[in-house]
Amino acid sequence: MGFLKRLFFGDHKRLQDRDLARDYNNGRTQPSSTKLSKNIEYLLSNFHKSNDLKVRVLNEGNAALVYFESLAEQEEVFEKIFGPVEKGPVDEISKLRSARVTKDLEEVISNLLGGQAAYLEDGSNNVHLFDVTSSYNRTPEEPQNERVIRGAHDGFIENIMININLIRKRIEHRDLTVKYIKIGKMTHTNVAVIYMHGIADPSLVQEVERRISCIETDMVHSPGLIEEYIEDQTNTPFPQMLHTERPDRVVANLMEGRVAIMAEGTPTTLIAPSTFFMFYQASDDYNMRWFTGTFIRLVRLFSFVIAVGLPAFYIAIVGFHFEVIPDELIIPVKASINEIAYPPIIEALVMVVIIELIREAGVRLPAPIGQTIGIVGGLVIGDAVVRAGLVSNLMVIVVALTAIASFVVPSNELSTALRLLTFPLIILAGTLGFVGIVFGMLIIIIHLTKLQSFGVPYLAPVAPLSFGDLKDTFVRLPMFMMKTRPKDSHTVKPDALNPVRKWKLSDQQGSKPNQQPDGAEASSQKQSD
Amino acid sequence: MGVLSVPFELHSAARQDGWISLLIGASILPLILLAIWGTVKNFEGDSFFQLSEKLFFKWGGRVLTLGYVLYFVSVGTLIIILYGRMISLWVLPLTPLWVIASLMIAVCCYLISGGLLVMGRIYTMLSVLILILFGVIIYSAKEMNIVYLFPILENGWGRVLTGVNEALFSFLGYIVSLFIYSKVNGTHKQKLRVMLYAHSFVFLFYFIIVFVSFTYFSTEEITLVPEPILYMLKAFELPVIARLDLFFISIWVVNVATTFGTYLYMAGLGVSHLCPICTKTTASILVSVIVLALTLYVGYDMGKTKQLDQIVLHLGYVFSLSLPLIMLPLSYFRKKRVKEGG
Repeated sequence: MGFLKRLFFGDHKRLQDRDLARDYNNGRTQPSSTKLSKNIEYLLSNFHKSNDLKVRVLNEGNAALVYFESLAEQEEVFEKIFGPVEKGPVDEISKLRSARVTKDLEEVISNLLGGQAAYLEDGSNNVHLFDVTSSYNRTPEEPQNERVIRGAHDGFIENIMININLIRKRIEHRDLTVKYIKIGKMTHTNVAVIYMHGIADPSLVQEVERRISCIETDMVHSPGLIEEYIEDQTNTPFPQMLHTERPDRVVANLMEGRVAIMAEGTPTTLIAPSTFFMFYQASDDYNMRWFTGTFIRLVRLFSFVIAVGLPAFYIAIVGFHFEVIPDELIIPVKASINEIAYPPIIEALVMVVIIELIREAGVRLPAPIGQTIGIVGGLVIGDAVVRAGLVSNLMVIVVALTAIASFVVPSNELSTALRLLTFPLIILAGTLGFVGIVFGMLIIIIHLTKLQSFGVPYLAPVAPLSFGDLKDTFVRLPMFMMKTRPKDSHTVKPDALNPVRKWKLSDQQGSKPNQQPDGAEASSQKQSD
Repeated sequence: MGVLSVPFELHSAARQDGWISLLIGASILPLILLAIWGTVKNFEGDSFFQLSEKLFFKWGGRVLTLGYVLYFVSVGTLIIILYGRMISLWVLPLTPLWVIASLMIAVCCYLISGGLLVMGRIYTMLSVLILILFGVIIYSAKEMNIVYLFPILENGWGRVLTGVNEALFSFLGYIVSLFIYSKVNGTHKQKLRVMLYAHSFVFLFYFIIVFVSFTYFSTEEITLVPEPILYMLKAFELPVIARLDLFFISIWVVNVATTFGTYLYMAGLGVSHLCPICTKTTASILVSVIVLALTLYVGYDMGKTKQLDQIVLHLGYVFSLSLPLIMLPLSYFRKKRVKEGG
């Protein structure tokens, strides 16, 4: 019997260890007393007599129910605690089966903060804990900044449990692993590290966990903070972790062997390691025909060149290399800039700053006013500025194109980074012409090549060149060709799919359906197109 | 790097038979590559500096390393000066040399600060640009006149052999393989193959360029155009772009950066080996300051440039051609000695 008992207690203890709420007592314990008043006194003094801590005295002063009325749901309190007692099967609260029993007041404190109710009795040092947490959640709506035309229309919300639920619903597999880490000495923010065991590289997972657990701070309130604490290189405009609020995107990345990092209170999920080209992939690409998907992918990557280089290129031509323009265009171009008082570099800087002003003014305003700002800023100022002779026609076109191109990037962080990079390039082009642009681009390329995200080169499938992985970089090849996971995630399980179009193979072989489980893989690629 | 000037130099040495010189030069070079390969193969895992200390004893090796550093510094200076002159002639006539030179040197310092791995990745990525150069040159092939190559061997073998001399110097970059051999993963066979591939690619590129410029310009014309490719591209006008040469020279600047970056890296390696206090970063900064100072000292002065050119030429004979050939038999000898001693 002793063996069984030990086994039972051992299991019991392990179960308690897995409870999140226990982690942040820093090892402090305070055994509960058998005197009710002493226990209540301890709790009240530890919460500094906070007014929303509700103490309900029961049993003529021999027992008390303690909970935060701001955290607990009144209905739940009734349903879980008073209801069963009134209706019958049990006649005392302490005999309710749904309770968890503890003898440690520190644990009670942390559980009260988690929204539980504690029932204390005089003459017993057992504290019964009931889960009556209330939570106010919005519905998992489609994120505003990552809309898709076809595909899933749900998004993460501010509750980490619901977010993980959205992922678990999509991956019904035992290998989906969630690790909680509490960070923030004051806020105790719950951070989840999610990965696919057996696909993600174990050393990568370890590194992510190590970096997160090294965070020592009072407060973590946004994913931006976590990102900045754990990213490889902070002195760079380029984001090294992908932000997304879409469950399907997270799932796709998990299945590529990457790690997702979620935090309580924010819908944004970080994905590590990320590469530059991941920021140019959108969920829509995979719902389209691969022809259109490839076309749009190319348009997006081209937008990178426009967003970074177009104003600089224009300034270099107008300021230094007029001879590059074909003869027929010279007169219109010259005519448009001849009347302008300022040199092109000033024009460009002014226009780019104006665009940024309009954008920043519109971002936080309510939609109707935002539109007004857009119309006033874009149309009225744009037109007036040209008529007043401050900025040339062509410059307005160039800067507007640049602004549009910078918004084509599916990721907001990268789009901001690109708009920031325009400035040094404009200055370089304004001082050294084409040579300046070449040097600027060279510096950007060197910088991108040197960057790493969790040990993975940032420009991964291009530098270092991995020819096979280009299938999902500049182009989006048909899905049946994406047989291996990208190498940059260092996945331990490279094969992603067996032949998915095997039906075609078996059609062609006539009477032998499903005869070639493995050998078909190699030939399916050739035959299915 | 030599893309712009090689056709002119070959031509001034061997007239319209310059392409034969290039062919001969390119076929001699694999011998030197083999010599380098044979030498480093004998000292498995040793860097070049350790190797030279084993070959020529401690101080001999150090002197040799110092010699190589000086050689790389002078090559680097020559590169910067030629590049500065090209930029000021074709793109930015009013910009002072120190701006162009220091910008290039600073970018190259940044380039090599990531180490060999990052450099390799960047070079791989930038090699896409060479394809663009190829495309531009092949576009101009429609104007070719094979007749300009005739009469073959009009001036006899003597001129052709002087041309071989010029041709060899357009391939000088192969000395890199001596320095980074031990830092690259792979079997000896693979590395030799890569070296030979690299050499044949360079040869192919130069050959196409020389061929195109020799057939576009007649023998009399080439003597007038020091940068035949640029003059040739200047004449073309596409519907969208009027001056192809400006784009060509912009891409060429990238090639200059990679070439100079490589020399800077090797010189930095040497300095950091010689002076134990220097890290690789401080060493390469030291080298770049020296190069910048030398560049500004020489400036656009034709006489001094000519002198520097001669120095680089002679150092090239010693360090790029003779030394690998000397080291090969020595390495077998030493290896045997080391084995017997052990």
